[in-house]
Amino acid sequence: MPWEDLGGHLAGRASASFGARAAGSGFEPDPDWAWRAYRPSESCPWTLARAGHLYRRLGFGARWAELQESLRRGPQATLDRLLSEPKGLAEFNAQFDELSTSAGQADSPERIAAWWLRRMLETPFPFLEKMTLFWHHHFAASALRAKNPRLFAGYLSLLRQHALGGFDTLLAVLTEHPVVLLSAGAEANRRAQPNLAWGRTFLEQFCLGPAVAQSEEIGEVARAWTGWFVLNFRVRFIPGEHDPGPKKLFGREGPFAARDVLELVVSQAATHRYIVGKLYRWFIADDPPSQSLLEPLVNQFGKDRDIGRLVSTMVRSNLFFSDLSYRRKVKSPVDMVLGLIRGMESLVPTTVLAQDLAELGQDLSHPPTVAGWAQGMAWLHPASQLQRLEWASAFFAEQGRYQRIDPWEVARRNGAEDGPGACRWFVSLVLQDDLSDESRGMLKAEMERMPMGTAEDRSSALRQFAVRLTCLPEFHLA
Amino acid sequence: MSDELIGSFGEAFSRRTAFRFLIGGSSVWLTAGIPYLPALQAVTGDLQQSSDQTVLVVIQLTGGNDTLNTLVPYADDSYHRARPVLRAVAKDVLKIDDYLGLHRRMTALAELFAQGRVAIVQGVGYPNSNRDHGRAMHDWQTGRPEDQAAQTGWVGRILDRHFSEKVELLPAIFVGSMPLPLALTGELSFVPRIQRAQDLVLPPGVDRRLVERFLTSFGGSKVANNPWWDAVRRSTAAGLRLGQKVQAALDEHFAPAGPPLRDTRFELARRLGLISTLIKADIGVRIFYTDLGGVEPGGFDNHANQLGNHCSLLEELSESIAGFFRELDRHRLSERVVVVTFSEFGRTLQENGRHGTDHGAAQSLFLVGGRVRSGIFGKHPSLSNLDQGGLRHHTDFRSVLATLVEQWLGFETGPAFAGNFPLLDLFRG
Repeated sequence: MPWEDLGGHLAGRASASFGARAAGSGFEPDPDWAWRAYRPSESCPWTLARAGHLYRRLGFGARWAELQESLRRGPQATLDRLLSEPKGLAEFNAQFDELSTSAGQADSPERIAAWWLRRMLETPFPFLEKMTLFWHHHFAASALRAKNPRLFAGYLSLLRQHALGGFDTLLAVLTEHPVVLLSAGAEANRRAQPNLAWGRTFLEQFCLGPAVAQSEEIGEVARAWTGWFVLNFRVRFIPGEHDPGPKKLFGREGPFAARDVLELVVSQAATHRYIVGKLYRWFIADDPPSQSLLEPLVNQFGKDRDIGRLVSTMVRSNLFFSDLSYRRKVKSPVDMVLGLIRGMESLVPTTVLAQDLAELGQDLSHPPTVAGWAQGMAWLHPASQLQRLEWASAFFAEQGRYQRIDPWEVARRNGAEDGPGACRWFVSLVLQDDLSDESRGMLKAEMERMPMGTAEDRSSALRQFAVRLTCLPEFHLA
Repeated sequence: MSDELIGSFGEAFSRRTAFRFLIGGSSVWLTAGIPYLPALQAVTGDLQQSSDQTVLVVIQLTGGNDTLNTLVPYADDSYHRARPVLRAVAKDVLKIDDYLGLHRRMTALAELFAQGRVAIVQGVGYPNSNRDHGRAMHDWQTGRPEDQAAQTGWVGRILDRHFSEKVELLPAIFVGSMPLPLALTGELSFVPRIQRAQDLVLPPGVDRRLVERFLTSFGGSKVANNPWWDAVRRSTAAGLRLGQKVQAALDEHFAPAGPPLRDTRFELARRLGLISTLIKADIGVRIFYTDLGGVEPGGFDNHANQLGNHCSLLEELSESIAGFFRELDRHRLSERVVVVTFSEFGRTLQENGRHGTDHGAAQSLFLVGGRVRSGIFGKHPSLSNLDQGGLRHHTDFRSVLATLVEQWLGFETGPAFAGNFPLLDLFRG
């Protein structure tokens, strides 16, 4: 592919249809159009850029062969493959469960994070890990706060087990897990002193979303949970500490216990809106959607609370493949590092990676609060960009903590014949050729300055070129 | 769809997202109202001008510092009776007045005190204080002991209120190796952990000019209406400025004239040296946080054979702070910087049978530098009327911290501390 042609096949993308309609003061995408399944069209064709987008959002980025296959087979086949459980998954996960909890492996939060990262990189079903990570943002338990790494490993495996099933089950299972209760400071729920903080966390973080619940409701939930304790890292119910009196919640009245609250809360429309909104942000965009845009999904989720079905609707949609979603999210540190690692088709020491991620602001074993990571703008500050560049430099360096990575070798394996060809390949892999003409020109000039005569030159040039690509703002958008 | 329609759609959308997302963010974005056209000026707007800003340096002393042997009530018989082994006798303390003296290994701090640069607040604590390391540290760091489930820290909440989404500012830094202290945790903001100044410069081999040119290259592409692209760009531009400034400070630091704080026998001195470099670099950081004593239970937790270990820690603290201010003095920055130390609790008056002390309650806080009003604040807590063997507090720790937040840093205290804590008169006009 000649350099000048890079991006030529993207021309169509620029005029992707929004199905927009005039709505008072501004334009809003039409919800009917938005959630209808995407079919490639002249105005919104299936391109390398869209394939890259799909792999970034549903998983942790693509390898070159995956992008190529996806281009060949089209969006439907690719979506079907990415969203459905592959053969051998159960064996893979069972093997990882065993390895990651064998003697000594689950004894420190760092090791558990390292095992999880390895799973993210090697799993045949990255979508499941992406959803597990989503629920980890949602329930946001911390190995550090719970002070029990092994239990934390169990929590992650529960998240994985229920990540794509029914929300009712997920919520019930997680809210009686000791790590979640310990992380939320809910290890004691005494009759004489109902745990209001837990009532608030439960309603505002896990179910209804912020600023919905009345303070009376928070109090009633706290009362319903009285009697539940975490003792020696086990959840115990002590009947004598439970307050069996009548409670008023969501317009109903009764001697509600925790189980009744779970049943009541999952049928609240606010819960459906909150979960749909969070998943929208996870998969579609950091921009806040309007209520009317979400309405069809909220209705669908309200009927069956089927997480897998909801996400499938979202990511198969016109909206997902439109410019309202494309590069409208800031990459998390996990997105950034795993994307490059997958693209380089390499194994890396994930213990080192887990530590690096903590420096970059995403310590997987320790979300900052029970509200998870703030995402979006919160990933960005002046030091974060320096840290990200430092990481990329270390990753592509010939010596150092990731020294096995050789981008020239990977490019060659994927068909690049010379140095310039390898650079072009790299732009296609990492940015799917979607960058401004000016940036392209600058990169080209950089490339031409680099000696590429010998194999050693090419290897060194590719390393430098790769780091330069990560300096582009576009690279930091998911 | 025509390009024109895309343009107008983008306009409407960008304005909407601007209002929802960027309140308090980039004013360029807010006032634009027209399709956003990133300009070079926007890229150079960056780290806050900080040359007249005040800086707070918090030193966490992990483990429960025995302030009775830090600031010694040497003239009190009860002290000597309770501590037959650990006591410091009158001739061994650096006398401040006829009742109190500093530990003899704290000559450097005593000198600062003599220069009128140290304030010591006695009897600091809080009601129903906890004596478990983790719990008590949680209380001090959240600033909300009444909320055992509190998830954010007093600094984190200030950052959430004043700095969230200001991607070009770096208001706080943690210097150390332990996990980020809870005090710095916010819901919307992230405080970086730094161990070396090199963590804050552009990695070697990355060409600053090229990155700068990338930031202004958008060629009429889709990114023109993408607030996220713009945020990455702004934070990167600020990162480049940050790197430049830190590099310049480092170059000066290691210039032939000789590095200050050459004495790096002490880890704390090394960290404070790094902090002084970053203050010199003028990068707009308002709050630095570091620790002496590491993670729980911490180096100050001396239940047995306290003497040697505690002496070394006090010497490290004293020498490091003094070295830090010598360095700041050289650059005429001392007036802008206040250091405050705290521990999760003080210790019991009575020494135990193993030549150590146990978890107590109230403690003394040390404030150094800036325009602190030098002297001893508050009465020394009684040594006869104790709280389960520890000292009783008369000043809530949030009064001290709120004073620092409001009168020194100039932020409202509401987000940091719920409740009304009377401010103290700790600063000169």
